[in-house]
Amino acid sequence: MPDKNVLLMVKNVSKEFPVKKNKLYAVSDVSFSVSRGETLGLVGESGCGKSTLAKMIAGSLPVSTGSITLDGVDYTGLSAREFRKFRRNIQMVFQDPLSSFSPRMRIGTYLCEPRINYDHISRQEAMEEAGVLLEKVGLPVEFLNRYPHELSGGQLQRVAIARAIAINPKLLICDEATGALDVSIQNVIAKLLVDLVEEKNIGCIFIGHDLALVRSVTQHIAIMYLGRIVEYLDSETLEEKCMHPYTRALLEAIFDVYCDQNEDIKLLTGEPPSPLVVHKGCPFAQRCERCRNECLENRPELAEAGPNHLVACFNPL
Amino acid sequence: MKIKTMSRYRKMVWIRFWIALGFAVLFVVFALFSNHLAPYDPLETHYDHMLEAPSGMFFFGTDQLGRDIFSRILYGGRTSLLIAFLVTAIVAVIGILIGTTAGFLGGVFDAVLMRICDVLLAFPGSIFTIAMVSFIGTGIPNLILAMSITSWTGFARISRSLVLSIKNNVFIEQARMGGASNWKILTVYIIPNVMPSLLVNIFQNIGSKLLTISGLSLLGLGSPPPTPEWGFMLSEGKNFMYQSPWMLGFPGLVILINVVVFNLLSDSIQELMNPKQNNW
Amino acid sequence: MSLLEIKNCTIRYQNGEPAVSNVSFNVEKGEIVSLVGESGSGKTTLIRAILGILPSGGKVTEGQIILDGTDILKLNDRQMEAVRGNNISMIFQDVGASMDPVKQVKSQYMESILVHERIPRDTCIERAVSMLKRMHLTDTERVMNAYPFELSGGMKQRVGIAMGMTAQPKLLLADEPTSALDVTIQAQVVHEIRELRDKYGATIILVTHNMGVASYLSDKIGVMQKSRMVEFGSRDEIIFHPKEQYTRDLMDAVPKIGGKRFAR
Repeated sequence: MPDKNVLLMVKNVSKEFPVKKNKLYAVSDVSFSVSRGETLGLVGESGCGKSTLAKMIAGSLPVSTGSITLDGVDYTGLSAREFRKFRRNIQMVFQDPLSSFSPRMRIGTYLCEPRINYDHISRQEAMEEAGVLLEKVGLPVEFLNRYPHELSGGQLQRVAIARAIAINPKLLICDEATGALDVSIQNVIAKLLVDLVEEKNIGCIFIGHDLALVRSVTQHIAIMYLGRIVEYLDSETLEEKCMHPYTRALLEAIFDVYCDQNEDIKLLTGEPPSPLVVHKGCPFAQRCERCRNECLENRPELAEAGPNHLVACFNPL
Repeated sequence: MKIKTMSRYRKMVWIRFWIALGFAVLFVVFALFSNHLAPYDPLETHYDHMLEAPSGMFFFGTDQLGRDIFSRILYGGRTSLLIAFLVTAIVAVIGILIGTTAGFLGGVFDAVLMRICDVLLAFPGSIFTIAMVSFIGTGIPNLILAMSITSWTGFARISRSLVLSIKNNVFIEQARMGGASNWKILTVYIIPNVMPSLLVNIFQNIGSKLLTISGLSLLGLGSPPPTPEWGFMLSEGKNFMYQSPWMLGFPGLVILINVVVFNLLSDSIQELMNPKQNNW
Repeated sequence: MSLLEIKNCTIRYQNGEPAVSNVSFNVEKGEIVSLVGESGSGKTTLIRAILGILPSGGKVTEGQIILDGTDILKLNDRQMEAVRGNNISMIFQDVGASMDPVKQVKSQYMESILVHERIPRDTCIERAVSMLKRMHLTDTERVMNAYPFELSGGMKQRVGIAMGMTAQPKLLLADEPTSALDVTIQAQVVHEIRELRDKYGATIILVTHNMGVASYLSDKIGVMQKSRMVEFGSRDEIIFHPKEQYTRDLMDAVPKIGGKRFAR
């Protein structure tokens, strides 16, 4: 993924958690990059390590091995003090709108916080900016005096986005940011995000489990399975070009509104294996119908399969 | 503000709250202005009116020295309520500070503090207080000291567990991303969210402290003799229980009402602050 | 005669604005009917009313709910209890959360059977095992002896469906049964629900916000918006020839593979 405009570089990042005598491999050897103005989608089922990866990129969780650089600065080794200053460059929007708000803090105060903390501007100044921000995300200025429980989920998510962009971060991470919302609101938020990323020319990582939605807001998609990226490809041509059996399975698991009821569902049997066990072969082998002997013996590495297309499979589609 | 119909149950809770608060304020006012409200000096003896039953002259009767029980109860409120409020304030501030910090920082600090709490909690509270008082001597300052030392642990425990329950919330994570320092997270994000539950405990504590004080005075470990104090009045009254029950009855009734009022107050606060019932 | 008839049903919470207003529809035997709509549209309230488990303060203020010829709103608590056990079952969105975390699946399963029937232990276990097998939980031994936390979300959901189906209810109510699941597991559970109807003739009312799932499973679909049923009809009518603008908007809003993209 060579690009002169590269903003974020994630290189061979792994994360292990000690579990009793064992080790849980949450993320293993993940590498990718995000350019300015680009939105990368991270898709996978629960437990695939996408949220752990997001936390490491946001700096809330230290990496076990590997490096993450933003604008040429490797921030995995920064001291706590240095990192507090650096942190403004990466902001995050979470899934559950209500739990990202302190129940007893007014929307205005919530929006002012980052500017006051990082730039030490006066409260009054920050409040004026907060009003502008609210209008930018399409909410009335009166909301400054409201409490979180007085707003709907979609409105809260807009406020969370407004707060994230208040300090002009270089990278925005959305962890299932639209997952808890109704479909019509989902689209509004998705559109707002796309516009903001374009306008501010920032990088964005959009994490989700709904491949169809992620595809609609991103340029590239990385599919994760059991802590690894198994395929990386262009969003636009996702359906035609995807080569990994798991990506195909994810696509087939989506029920289309205009589907044929008489057509059988193509089922992926079983469930993802435990991340506590180290697999010799391909992590997907047990559930894969294209599995061969080779797949059980060796692990396929992510390899170039075309322009902007990487896939980790011995027997791709 | 949105106007919605308030449920009948909620209305009852509000009524209960206002009644309890009204009584609590009334008692405090009585105690504060006892020198203006009391008809007699609480220490003044009326030798011609000893052990007299309640009458228009002495509302609650007189004791074995002919002192007016009504005035003594008014003045006694000063001592009892003052001690209860002071102890609760001290205990709440120390306990909450230690508990929230321990819960928030975790690690060694948390472990050490909580073991200290464990040690203190291993002693039965009131017996420990009695032992302390008999060790350092009676008198109001000593009483306050002894009661504070033995009861801050409760607040520390509660506030610690409250902090632990919200520490891992997403909004704390987001506060960090917004550049908030540890101090700010503790004071702006955590404490306002745990305060309602703590407030309930604070009022409950006032009630229970009133009882402890009375108990200690009854045993002769409270305020020194001439000072009017509810528990001490009880202890005097028990010698004349059959001849003049008013000596025992009125102070006892006042203690009972006070404890009930503060418990009611804490109960209704708890219900009113429950965000799940925030539908008024 | 329809198995279930809902006639002009209005449901209110504490005499406020109706949560469900004047809704009518019929469910025939062996049908899958889906109720779709956004959150707060009243779809969950409606099926809770059918089971008689509205949260406190909720009440059916007008209309009738007729199951197999009896108006269940006229039944007393005891009669309703019997209906719940033998005629209607419900599967919740998060079965894991409605299970007792400190009891094995086996004892919870048996409890759910023994509440309604006095049968020997062995028969009880036999029935449970055969139901679990129908749900394609082949390792029944492990499942029965497991505590809820030892099972994955998809497995718990299947255990929940199995438990709901054991009494062979006339009507199965499913409240967002696949919403908490990953897409590949969702596909498996949808497959099981489909099989319940195709192989065992179950009648199912499904509440979901996933239009795709509703479209795949249903014979009829009811679209709800702000407490009203805006449209009710056969699956093909609703999906391919919706009459109401709201239904059309709802279909359009669903992200589709190969659909429109916001990103450039």
